[in-house]
Amino acid sequence: MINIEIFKSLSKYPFIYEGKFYNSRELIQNKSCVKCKGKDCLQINSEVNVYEQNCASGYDNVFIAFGKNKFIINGIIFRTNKYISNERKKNRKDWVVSRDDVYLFINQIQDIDKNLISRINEATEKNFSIFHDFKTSMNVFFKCTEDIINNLPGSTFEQKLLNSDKPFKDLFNALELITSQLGMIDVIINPKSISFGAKRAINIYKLFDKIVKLFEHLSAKKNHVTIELKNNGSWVKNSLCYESIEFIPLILLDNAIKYSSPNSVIVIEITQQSNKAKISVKNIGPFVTFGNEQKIFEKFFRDEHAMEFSKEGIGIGLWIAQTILETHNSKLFYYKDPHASGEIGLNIFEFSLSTT
Amino acid sequence: MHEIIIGLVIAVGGSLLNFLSSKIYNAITGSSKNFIWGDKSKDLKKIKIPMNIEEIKKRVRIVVVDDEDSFPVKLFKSEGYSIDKWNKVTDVTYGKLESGFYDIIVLDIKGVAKDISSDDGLGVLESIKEKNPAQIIIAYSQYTYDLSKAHFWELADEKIAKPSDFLKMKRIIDILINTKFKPERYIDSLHQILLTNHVSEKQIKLLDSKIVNIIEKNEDPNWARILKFTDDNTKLFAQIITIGNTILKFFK
Repeated sequence: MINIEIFKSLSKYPFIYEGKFYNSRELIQNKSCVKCKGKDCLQINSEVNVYEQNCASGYDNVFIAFGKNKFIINGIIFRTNKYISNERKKNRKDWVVSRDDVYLFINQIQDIDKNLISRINEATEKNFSIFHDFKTSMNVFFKCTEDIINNLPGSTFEQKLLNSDKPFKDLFNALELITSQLGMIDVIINPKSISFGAKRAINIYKLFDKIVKLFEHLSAKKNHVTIELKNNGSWVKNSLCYESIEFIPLILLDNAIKYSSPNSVIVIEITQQSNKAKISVKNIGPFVTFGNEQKIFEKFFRDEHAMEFSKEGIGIGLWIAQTILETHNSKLFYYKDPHASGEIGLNIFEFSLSTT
Repeated sequence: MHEIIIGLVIAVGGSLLNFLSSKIYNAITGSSKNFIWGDKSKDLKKIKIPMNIEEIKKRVRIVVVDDEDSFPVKLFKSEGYSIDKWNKVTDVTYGKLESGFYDIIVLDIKGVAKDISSDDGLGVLESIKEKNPAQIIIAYSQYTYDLSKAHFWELADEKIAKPSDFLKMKRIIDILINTKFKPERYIDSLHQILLTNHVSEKQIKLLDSKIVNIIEKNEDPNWARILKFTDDNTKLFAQIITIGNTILKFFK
């Protein structure tokens, strides 16, 4: 929870964050660090949350991690430091500090971190109590729908659904869609939920096929967009994935429909390439503004062209998709037609998944 | 006549020597060689299950512990699953969960075990997993979004977010049955527990052989006699009985 802003406002010591040197309010960067050519302090990293290391010039550096945010208090001289001469200590007396004082600061900031996490958890619980009530109400909707389908002719539930008329199928599909959308809200609040549950064999082609069927009537209603799913004759193997992988086709298709020009075609190509399934989703719509190609994967970022084209959306889908794919050692890429001019043309979202 | 006596003495002496050698060899190496130096220990993993996977599926005992009525118990029953529903875990019913009576436990996190654990469902999950790591537990809750409940989801074998549709739930349970409800998995877990408790390889083989004998003779196990080697380790004694009974269920 401790980010650069909080650390900067609290630290009494100069520090490094993401390769950049920062002064503290009380102490600027050690002149030796500014002049230093080696800057081996930038390489300090550790699996543990607090780790000490002397640089090649003998100065003390302390690495502190708060989740993904890693800080290095750099260029200080502990009173007990034996690598720095007394002469140098005199010259750099402002940077001579007590080790105990540094650790007192670290303990304090770790306490603040813990408090922040617990406050955020409390706030989440309070704010999402409505979300909890909504889920409870949805339980009733699920139960009633399943009871309706269960009263249809057939020996098993699956058969009953298979033999049922389109409205019943649509109703059940709506349940599946709601389940997934609720799951996506969970990911926004708690990204850890991406890897909850066991990994299982999932066929990404079948998954896209299922979602395409779910979206077909929606896309036809919206701007008369049609969806084509192709595998170019290749058999796509299964991938070992968490359940959250189901959100990927949902997000990419939802985006493609939202940002497609009227009467255009969304083309999804899934092919097996050696031990990977390669997936691309192509649509004709507004290009991402130059320079924003990576930013579209950030949380709550919406590109200006996208906002002009559609008012819907909060800029969360691609962030969720990217986070899920990162958990599966993959990455989502965005490309646009390099030869196109103007603001509308071919957009491609592409990723690959290891297959078993 | 003299030659016959010498021949007999040599034969008897040789046999005695062979017998003593095999005993000494077994004592030193921990093997189970018989008189003709063949391995007499029985491999538990080689015993064949007399049922097909469909039959096993129907015999899997499932319990849903949930203070709400959101789990489609009726639908599962109508599809042939053996499934019970509890609103909460009490001191009395906890023993049934702990004993391995149920093969799959579908457990909610809140409002199901306040009387027996301050951590509610999470407390039950932790306690069962500690005693019987092989117990299949599905975390079933609305709280997937809750940052403080992450451990509940991480510790469970699978998760079902609430609400979920019936076909999704059925698919998850079927995958678990097909992948985890196998005697080999429980045998491995039993061996792992024994090794962690520093039980010798020889003793493990002996225990395997005794379990095989019980299966072959279709007897009820006399655990007190079989598990004398656990001495006063009551925790280990209870763990072996729980997993042992689960293994035996496959062959009954």
